[in-house]
Amino acid sequence: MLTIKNLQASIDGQEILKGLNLTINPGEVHAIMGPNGSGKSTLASVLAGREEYEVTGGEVDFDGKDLLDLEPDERAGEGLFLAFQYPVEIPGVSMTNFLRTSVNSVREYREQEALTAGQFLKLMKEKQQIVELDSNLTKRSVNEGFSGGEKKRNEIFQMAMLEPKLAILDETDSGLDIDALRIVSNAVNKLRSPERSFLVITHYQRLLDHIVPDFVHVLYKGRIVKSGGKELALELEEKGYDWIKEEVAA
Amino acid sequence: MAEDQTLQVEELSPDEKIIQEFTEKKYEYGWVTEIETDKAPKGLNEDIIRLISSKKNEPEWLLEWRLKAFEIWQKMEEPDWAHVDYPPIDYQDIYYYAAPKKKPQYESLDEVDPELIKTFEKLGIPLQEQKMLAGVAVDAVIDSVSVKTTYKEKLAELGIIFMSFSEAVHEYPELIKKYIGSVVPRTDNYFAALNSAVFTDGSFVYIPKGVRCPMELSTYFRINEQNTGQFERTLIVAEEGSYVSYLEGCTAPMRDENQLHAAVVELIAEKDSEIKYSTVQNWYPGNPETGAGGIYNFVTKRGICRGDNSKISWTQVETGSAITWKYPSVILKGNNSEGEFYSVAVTNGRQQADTGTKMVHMGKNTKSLIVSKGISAGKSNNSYRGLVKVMNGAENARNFSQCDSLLIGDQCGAHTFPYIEVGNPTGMVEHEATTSKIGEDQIFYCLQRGLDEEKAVSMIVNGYAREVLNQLPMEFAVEAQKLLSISLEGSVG
Amino acid sequence: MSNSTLNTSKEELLKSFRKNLNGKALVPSVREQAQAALEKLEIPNRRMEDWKYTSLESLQKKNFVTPSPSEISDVDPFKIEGLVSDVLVFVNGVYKEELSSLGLNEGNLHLVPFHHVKGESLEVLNKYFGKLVASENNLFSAINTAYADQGLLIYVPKGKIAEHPVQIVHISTPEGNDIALQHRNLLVVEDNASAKVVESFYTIGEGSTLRNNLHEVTVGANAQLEYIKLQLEGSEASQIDHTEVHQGRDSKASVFTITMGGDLVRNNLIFRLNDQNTETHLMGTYLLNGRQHVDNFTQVNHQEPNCFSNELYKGILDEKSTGAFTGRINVFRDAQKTNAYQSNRNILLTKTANIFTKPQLEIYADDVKCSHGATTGQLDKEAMFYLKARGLSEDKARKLMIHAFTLEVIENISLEPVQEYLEQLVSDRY
Repeated sequence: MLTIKNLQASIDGQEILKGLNLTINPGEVHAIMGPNGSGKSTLASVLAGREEYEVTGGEVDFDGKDLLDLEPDERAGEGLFLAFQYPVEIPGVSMTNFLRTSVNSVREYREQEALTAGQFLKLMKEKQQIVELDSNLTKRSVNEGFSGGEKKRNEIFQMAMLEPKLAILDETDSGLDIDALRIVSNAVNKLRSPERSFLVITHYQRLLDHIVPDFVHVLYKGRIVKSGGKELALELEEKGYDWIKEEVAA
Repeated sequence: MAEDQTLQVEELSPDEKIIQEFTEKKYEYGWVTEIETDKAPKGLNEDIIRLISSKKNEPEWLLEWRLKAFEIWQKMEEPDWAHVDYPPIDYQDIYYYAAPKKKPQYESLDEVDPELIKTFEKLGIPLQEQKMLAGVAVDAVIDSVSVKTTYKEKLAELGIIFMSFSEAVHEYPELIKKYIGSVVPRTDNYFAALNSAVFTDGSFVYIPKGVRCPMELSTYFRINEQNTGQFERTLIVAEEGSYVSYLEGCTAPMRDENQLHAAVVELIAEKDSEIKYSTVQNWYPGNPETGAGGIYNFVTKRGICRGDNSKISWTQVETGSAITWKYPSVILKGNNSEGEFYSVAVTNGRQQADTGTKMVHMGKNTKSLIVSKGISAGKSNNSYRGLVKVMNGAENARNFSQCDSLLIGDQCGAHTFPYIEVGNPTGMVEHEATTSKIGEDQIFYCLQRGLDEEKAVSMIVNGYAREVLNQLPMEFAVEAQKLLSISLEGSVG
Repeated sequence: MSNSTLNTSKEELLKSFRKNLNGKALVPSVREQAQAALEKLEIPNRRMEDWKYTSLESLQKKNFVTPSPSEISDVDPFKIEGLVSDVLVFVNGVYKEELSSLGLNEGNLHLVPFHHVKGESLEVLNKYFGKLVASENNLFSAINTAYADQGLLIYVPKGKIAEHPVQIVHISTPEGNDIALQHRNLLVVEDNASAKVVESFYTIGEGSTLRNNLHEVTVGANAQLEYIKLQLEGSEASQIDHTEVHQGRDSKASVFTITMGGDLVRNNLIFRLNDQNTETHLMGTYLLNGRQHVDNFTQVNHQEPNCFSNELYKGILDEKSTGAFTGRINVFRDAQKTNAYQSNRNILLTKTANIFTKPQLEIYADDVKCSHGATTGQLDKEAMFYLKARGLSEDKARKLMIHAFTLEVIENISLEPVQEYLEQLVSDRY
């Protein structure tokens, strides 16, 4: 589904990703871990198409399409979803209005019929339950005045609404207390399916207790330096990253 | 909330419409209606004023009033302090009177020129009976003459007068005589003096003591004829304890020449009464690339809270006009009276807007609130200009002003010129202003959720203006949102 | 007022200032231009937008004369206690060498009264004199450029750091007459240099004064300047002060304008940020009583990207005083990433005091952060009550509140003795 070959990217002239390779097949959950500054969030931003990042080399194939050639909204239409580390507040724009525009834009891209108001509301009610999101939140402005946990749940709720092929969770666990973490993880697990893949970016192993990955990769200095199964995450938790750094240096 | 499903359905459908219609863009009201008109010759002199007055069968006192205004106007100079720039206007090259040739008063819709009905249909004015059930009474003014006032009889039962200004001059001369020029005197400014000399029609509203007007009253203005000026007057009187919500909408065809619109609006709120006045202004803004054509919108709007505990609230959504020069104001004379001004002004292309308000606190415990949201795009300039004045006797006056500007693109300008004059130590005046551009992170967030850039901008801008749009009656809020999106077409990327 | 009386007054006004031009002018071409400009300029009046709140009619009724020479023996009371600085004293506009003390910044800072310029200092003068302030549209600037014969060159050459501040003391002694005075500073802080200047104004005795000052200030690349003006003149003193500052790349400049004295005071403070990454602070406070009228007119022109400006003016208006404030931030088309903040806060203590404020933003660049705010009110009643409940008298509580209100401006002055001096003045006033 997603094939990244030798991806290189920089911001403000500083190279962050230095030849990253990764393949994700349908239904797989991949976790990317790594110390601060290793390039985790850069990877998420480049895949979603943030303008400030310049791709200097490599290629990304997303279900047969050249991902890097697409605009951010086209990538969303193709089924790539990024759960933001810091969801943006948009004052005055109601969640309902925002999501309805979003869902129908994506449907239009996929050449599906737009949802009527009634269909949309039904869908929204259904998906809200997955993330245990208070229905009042959808009447508020996008992310405005949401608590940290509400923002993250809201991201997962939007993921459920947009039904992506690939969801990238960018440090979705950071700043969450244990209850919120449980709710978010449960929601993600409910959304797992044989067609849908996940790329979970995290600094901490504890999220992976809840969202159990098929593969764990360690990102260090812009490259994946080690890959393994879910047990790799435990090993990292126990031993930290130093031994990886030493291995790379050796 | 158990009933939230139905509520939200209602909330949603407008947005849906907006998004659909967003793709249509451009100035969609810019057709010319083929109607025969009755025009006076171009130019301005005493004879023209006499002609206008006689065409309308006016009483002698009104003719005298006009002639005096003309005399005053001739001695005045066109103001040049606003942050706008336009070539000199040749006041002798304008038609001061143009009316649809058919008899301007109609007994029923059947008599109205079918072309006119089509015009109103295109404008989306609910002239038809079934639409009237929506609860809006409409007076339509085309090229300065009122063509139809709906719902008149029903309102009459409550003692409410809602008719064209010309009719009112005949039917209620004592009221007109009492109030005309009482809030905006002929000497007030250049354009008010001009209007006083040549105004051709407008609306008159009178709400008797203790009556709450049960429906929105609305006037649609349209300039149709080439080279015509439109000079209408609106006068609203709310007697003690009454309430009225009034709305005006404006459109004009696309023309290569500039057209002048110089209106005067006077509001009088007596004790315990409230007037809510909303405007959705969408005059033709001119060609976005060349700047050719477009309406010069030079308007004087002022209300007076004469009685204690009275309230006047102005809400305006200004998206059209090549040049906008208007400052809807409130004189807070009665104790505990309140003035509000909510404004969204969008400029794009080569539009120039200089708009704001004046709040003059005279009475004790008077309050005013100003919320202004300016949005500039293209090569336009958008200025907020406002005055908050606390007179010496205005004990405990309160004002809060929030003036925000949003810039889209780096070829436009956004300016804020508040004037604050305080002569009483118990007065508390606060002004805040910010200028910013649309956040790139907000746009990216929307893009990631599949919205294209134009949709994203439209959505963010509508959110930004929400506080003001919320003040509009529901159906007009829909129109206003749509207008914001259309006005900003082509401003990104 | 008809035009003819205005013109007469202008002639009178010019006559007041057109005095002994001591033979040769310093920079003749600039002077001549200014003299030519005077022909066309009018005395500012309230029909002009920039003078909407200040009338000069009271000045036009007077007949100002050139002051006669005056001797003062003791200037210590006018020096700021504890401020170790070079001191220059001007009495009735004339430099008094015997009352001044220089030399602390030897080699780093040149202090040269215009009458003494020669050699290097003359070169500097020719390079900078009349370059910043145009005469075409400002009568008072034109008068100063055309007729001022006294002035001071303050020059910090490239890379030099003036360790000690400079104190310029102006004293006028009208001796019962109505006198007109002019002063001009040419303040040049070259690239990588640094200076601090405190300039104060006092009056001795009866009689009215009209003072027309002009200050041209150039702050070079990566240079730093702190310039503090203390307007402490008598109740019959009028002052028109025009200061224009140009800042180079990476420079920092702060101008403080503290007004407690004077009858009619108009301060124009114009900043031009000609290069990138500059930092600017405009700080002012005006504490007025009697019939004082003080008009602060400020303008910050952001002409280049990445510049920061912060403006804070606070006023306390007592008795029948009037304050006016205009703050204009202009952000030019190319000045992306501008950060500009402005705030004007006022407290009216009486029903007879008035404040007029015009905070303005004119913005042509889109990637900017600009805000302005203005408030007017009275001393916070809740806070007053709280203080009284803690045992303070009405008077003490009021004093404390006023002190706290002005401190927000004063505490930004880096020179502690100046801060203390001002705090004392505030305490003495209320």
